[in-house]
Amino acid sequence: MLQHKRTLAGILAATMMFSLTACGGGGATTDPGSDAAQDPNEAAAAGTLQLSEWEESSGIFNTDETDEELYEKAKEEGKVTIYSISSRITKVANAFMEKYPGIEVEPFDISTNELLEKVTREYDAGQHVADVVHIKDQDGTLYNEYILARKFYNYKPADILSHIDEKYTKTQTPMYVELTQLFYNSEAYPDGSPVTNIWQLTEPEWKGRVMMQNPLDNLAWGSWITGFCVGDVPDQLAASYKELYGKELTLSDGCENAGYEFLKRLHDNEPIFTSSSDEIAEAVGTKGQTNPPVGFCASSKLRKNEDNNWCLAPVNLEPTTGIPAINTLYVVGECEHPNAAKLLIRFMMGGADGDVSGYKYFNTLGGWPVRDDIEPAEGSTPYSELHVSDFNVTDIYENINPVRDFWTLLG
Amino acid sequence: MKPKDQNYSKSRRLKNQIKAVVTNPYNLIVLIAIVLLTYLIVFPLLDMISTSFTLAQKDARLAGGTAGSFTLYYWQRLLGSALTKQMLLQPLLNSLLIGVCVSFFAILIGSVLAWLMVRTDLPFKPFFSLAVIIPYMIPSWCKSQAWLTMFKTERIGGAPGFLMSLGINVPDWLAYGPVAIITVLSLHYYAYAYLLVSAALNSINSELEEMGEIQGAGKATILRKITFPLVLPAMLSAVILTFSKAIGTFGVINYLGSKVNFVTLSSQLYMNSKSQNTQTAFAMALIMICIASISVFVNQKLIGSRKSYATIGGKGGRSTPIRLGKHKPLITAVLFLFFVFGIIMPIALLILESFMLRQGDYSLSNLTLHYWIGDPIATVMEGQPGIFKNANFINSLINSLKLTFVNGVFGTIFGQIIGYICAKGRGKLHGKVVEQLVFIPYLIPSIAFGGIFLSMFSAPQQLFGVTLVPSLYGTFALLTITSVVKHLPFASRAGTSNMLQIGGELEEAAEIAGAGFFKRFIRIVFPLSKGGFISGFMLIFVSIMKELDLIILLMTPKTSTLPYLAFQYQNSNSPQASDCVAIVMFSIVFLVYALANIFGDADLAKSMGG
Repeated sequence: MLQHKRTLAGILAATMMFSLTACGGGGATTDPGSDAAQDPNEAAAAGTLQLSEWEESSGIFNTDETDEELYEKAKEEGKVTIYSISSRITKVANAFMEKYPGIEVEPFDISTNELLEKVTREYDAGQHVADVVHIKDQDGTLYNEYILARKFYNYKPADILSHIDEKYTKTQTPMYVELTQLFYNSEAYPDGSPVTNIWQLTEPEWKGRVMMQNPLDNLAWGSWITGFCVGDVPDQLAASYKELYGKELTLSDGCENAGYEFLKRLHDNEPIFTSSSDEIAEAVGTKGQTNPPVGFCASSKLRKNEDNNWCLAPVNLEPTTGIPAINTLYVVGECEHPNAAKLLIRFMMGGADGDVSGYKYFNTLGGWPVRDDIEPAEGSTPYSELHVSDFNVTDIYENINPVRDFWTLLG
Repeated sequence: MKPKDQNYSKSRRLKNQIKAVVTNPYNLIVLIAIVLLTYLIVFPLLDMISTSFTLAQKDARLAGGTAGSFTLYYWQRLLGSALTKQMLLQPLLNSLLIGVCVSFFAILIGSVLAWLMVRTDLPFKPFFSLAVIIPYMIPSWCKSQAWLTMFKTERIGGAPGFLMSLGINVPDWLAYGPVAIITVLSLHYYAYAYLLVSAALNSINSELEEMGEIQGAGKATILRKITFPLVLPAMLSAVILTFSKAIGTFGVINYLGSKVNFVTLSSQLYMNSKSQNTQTAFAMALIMICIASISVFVNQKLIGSRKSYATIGGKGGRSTPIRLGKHKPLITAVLFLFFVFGIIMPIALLILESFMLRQGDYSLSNLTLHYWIGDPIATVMEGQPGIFKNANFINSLINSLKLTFVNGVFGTIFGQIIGYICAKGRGKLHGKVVEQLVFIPYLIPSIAFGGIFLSMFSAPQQLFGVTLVPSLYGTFALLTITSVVKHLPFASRAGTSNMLQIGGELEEAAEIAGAGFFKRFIRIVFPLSKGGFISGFMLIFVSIMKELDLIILLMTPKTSTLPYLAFQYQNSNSPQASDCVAIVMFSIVFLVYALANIFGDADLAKSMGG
């Protein structure tokens, strides 16, 4: 028996060592600390960036290539793989292959968390499978931990970017914008929304009648509540409070600014949490209700209105409906098909000429194009008329966990 | 002459002992198993532990350190800060409440059903024995949805619940929160207890009970003093499976609990994971692993104090059903009611929904076959054809079948071998170590487990410069290894309770007759444990069939599986098509179970046929 134990101990020790060596082999990470403060695109444009071999050969920082030039180079690469958070990616892939024969697109539809986990693990292991990633940089992680660390790249074609507001292109290559909007039941409230100012949601009348997802549930909701607490949004909230009630807002203990105060009062008004946006859309939009709730959910749910015979109507909240969720395209560093990747990104952004054959699948109700030369879907409120806060990657990135903790402490 | 003789025999004895240890295949198998398990389970665990002590870039400013450095920040936040109550204590208490209650009810229902099915003269046994396992095959969200359809109140808006539309006022505590969760989960997880206990009951020789009867013991006494102790290991195994499954589950808790802000440790874990607070999520997972380890430990203590559970002995077994007598009609009626509410309703709802062009519209004109066999229409399902006209469907079907069968078979074989080790090594160190190790993967969140394995096997594995495992990225082998290890807890628990019942004298007899280890295993152990083998196979088969998170990380864009297809449909606003896929998955599982029941295990079928 004793020998048995000793043998076991020996084997265990050997296995541990084996495990450790395996660990060392797997984790070939790049140091995110070096160039941390420097935006790679800006540095490359200024000529101060020491280019890696792949950055050089892929020409990832080029801004002036045309579709034709890229198509020629892409044909040699033959294929491109995209990981996307949208199920519509399959149709985009087919449209691309129709327009650019000779390049095979492999689309992979996968949800945000799994996408990031998969692509990061693959990148670290040197498996360069994905060329393009379609995702939303909801809390600034992608900019701060992927772009600055040069794991992902923003491809910035000048001809297309000239049609997009600079505030969207600074830290990402944007495709379209979605919102978390407040919705009401237009059958029960035929004269328009019962709520117009965001502070009304904290009144007794709406106690237990505001639906939303638990902000602690996922990154999207966590970022959204953080948006109220940073930048100039707290000041807007305070002003809006004064406008509604005619008096100054008094901050409770532990509330740094009007944003935190709003979250505290919203929480104290006992909103009903659901596990998905669909549940909220159904709860608010179902016809035949006498006392329907209002609810925050993804603006894209508006698309289901007709399919499900709902009467969801969006509210353009004062002073703001929150930060936008920007759908973004990245090129994965060290990828094998950089030119096809660039061509696909151009195609998905609507091309130089505004050819929408790749873009139209995303240009639907509840989503807004970022380009000034592409009209939003029929029936959409023009984006310029909506009250949307600015999305600052650094503010959200640095504050999301403190705000989450604040919400957790509320109980 | 004498001393020399003694010397000679001493050294020879030692030599023989060493020879016996080295040449005994059992020891070799234990060795291989421990090495493999250590490598495949301890490594991911170490990875998680070290991650929970490493500062993330996002938190670096707040915690005052540099990214990637060692930190106690996450553990300190969780265990000793203002957040502890909200993040850990309250959810932990809720988890334990759910775990204990669900285990209790699930084991009660499962064991009673198993006893009725195997040991009594219940009528319609063939029907019941197939129906009883269905709840486990339909996805648990289906049942939570059915629950809400029934009990929904005005609190959450939308269409009224069935009872409310009849004018019955449903209190919120019944509609949402712990009561709802415990009911739904108990109805989902009693299958573990049923499968394990009925396999155990099947192997009991009714002579044991008859002996009690001859001595004048009543039915209750026989049940309590003879039957119950013999199936105790199976019941305790079921407790462990159910308990850890109940504290680890997330979907039902989020769906029914979020409306009244009811969170458990597992829902906290998934929230943190989806908010990309990996370190906190891992720390929570580690706490859950500790809780499960304690339950395994307690189980070892309980079982270890008993002498023997061997029910499969050298003598021939026969089974005489116990007569239910005058209670028969009542019990039958109760069972029928149970099946109507627990089984037929969720399935009917699922099937009905798959035929509805628009959700929530219950008129006849809304019924359609479009989601099954329709040609593409631009306005419905974003222009995709019905599932049987979708080329992707056939592809996914084949992939899923391949995956589940290969992994089911491999998983079951490994599970039984490990069960054999746990049973034979009961009370010894190696048995305990293996039993604890095997349980860890279940509580590692799928996404973390899949991610760690992806990293481990994407590069060739080397030891002292020798390549032991080539790069497995994107191969079927990697999918198999990962799913087998992840589902080992099921298979091995089924194996352990199974093997505990096989009396040692059978093997000893064979050994004396000169049979080697492998011969004994194949000719004696395996045939006797066939029932348990099939139970184990079903447990692992069903789980892998439904698995999404784990596999999606390891899949290449070209390998699609049925759960992935269902996910895609759900994602593209076509829940009906997603229901169709769920029904196909359910049908496959059901078919396999029915076949296994009829052909795979003649004894089981015979005893059930009455």
